[in-house]
Amino acid sequence: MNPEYDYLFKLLLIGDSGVGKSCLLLRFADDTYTESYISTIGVDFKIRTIELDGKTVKLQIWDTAGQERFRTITSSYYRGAHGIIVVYDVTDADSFKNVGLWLNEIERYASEGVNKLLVGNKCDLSDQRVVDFTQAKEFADAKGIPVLETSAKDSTNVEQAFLAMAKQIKNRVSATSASTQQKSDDKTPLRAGLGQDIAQDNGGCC
Amino acid sequence: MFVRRDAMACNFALITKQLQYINGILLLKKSEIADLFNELEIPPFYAISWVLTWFAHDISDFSIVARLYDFFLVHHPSAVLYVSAALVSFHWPKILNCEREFPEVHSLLSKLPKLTEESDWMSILSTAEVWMLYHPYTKLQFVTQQFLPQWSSYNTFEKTWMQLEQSNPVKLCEILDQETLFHNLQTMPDKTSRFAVVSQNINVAAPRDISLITQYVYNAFVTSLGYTPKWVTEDKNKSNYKTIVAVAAAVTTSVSAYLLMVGGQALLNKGYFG
Repeated sequence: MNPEYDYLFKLLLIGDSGVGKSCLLLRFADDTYTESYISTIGVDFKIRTIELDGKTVKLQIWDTAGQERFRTITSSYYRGAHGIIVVYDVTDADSFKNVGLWLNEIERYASEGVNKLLVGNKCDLSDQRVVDFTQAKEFADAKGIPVLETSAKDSTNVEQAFLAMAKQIKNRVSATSASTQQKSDDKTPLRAGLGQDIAQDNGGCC
Repeated sequence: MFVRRDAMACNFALITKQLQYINGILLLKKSEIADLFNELEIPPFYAISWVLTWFAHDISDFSIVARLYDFFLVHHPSAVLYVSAALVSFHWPKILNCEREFPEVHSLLSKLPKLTEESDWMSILSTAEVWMLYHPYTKLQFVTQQFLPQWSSYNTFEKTWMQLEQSNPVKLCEILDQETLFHNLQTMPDKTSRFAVVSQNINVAAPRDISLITQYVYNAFVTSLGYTPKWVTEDKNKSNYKTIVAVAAAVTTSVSAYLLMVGGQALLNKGYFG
């Protein structure tokens, strides 16, 4: 099977329990939404292929459990992620307060130079909002992370969030690969910590 | 509670160890799978929801979930690990066909319960039951070098089961000697954790009469066969039949279990496990 894509990026969704990580992913990958709440246990992942500047990019998105007691398990999936999306709930002040803790987790477990994105979900619930965008923007600017508000329910900004992340990573990866000229000799390009251009004809079985 | 306790602790220290036993079982029974997982560095976390919820999180068909719960309720708490390993092994051809990459294999593994037909579950359960007899978790502790503390429900299960008495509920502190219990509680990061409260108040009240035990063994026997044999059900007039089958099964099971224990002990003495 030849890889039918130019890039493969591994993204990770983290954030407090119940902020809507799984819903965001469901909206982005399958364009569906469900009101029912089923807590994620462990990790789950979905794939979607997108077009970016004429290149085919395969996004492999890992959705993690937000509950505290899963922390040790989910942290083992940070390794090898190209981009990490931290999600909070705009109607839940605690989930925003905990963003700092999640950023610490990234510092501790993720590869260096990983791209980050802050996402405030559930922005459709305007009457229950407790976290202002300006407040989030201020915080994110201080940390040097882009921020976005989304709604998995009415699909506001969901596409944009993932595209923004992919674009960031692509820029970083093409910058590094151009400078090092490191190309498709590597036999296992997909598992490496950094994204690599695998446009050449190496691939798996079946 | 005395079966499910480990999954309800405030962290997954015990569950993580128990998940390693799945790899241990695979190593003993299907080493090519264990090799693949080793090569791709796949942690056994794909099975965490299976172990925590007895597959209820992953299977939407209620009748299958009920069937599995029946199986788990009549077996040692470790049964879910054997079923997980047997499930993975059952789908080995599918795994082989999958791209040999961590995400692909991991994703396939986590979807296995959904991909399994009700009839296939029966054969998976019987495989699991046989494996459970041959490779008890006590042996897996040596294979994987992951040892469970005394207060794990794996270790207290038997004692609790033996002491079941309707009039006299069992408390964890009665099964374990005080020193073990309190030693472990003191080393817990959070001393006032729910665990401490819960462990003092685990009351297990269940009738310990012969009919329950008969039922237990009978269920175990039928489950292990995967179906109710015709010769058990065809003559409804002979109500004793069920009991006879159950007793026969009980005798065979306990004799074989005893032999295995003796055998295991002998192997242990010979330094088989290093």
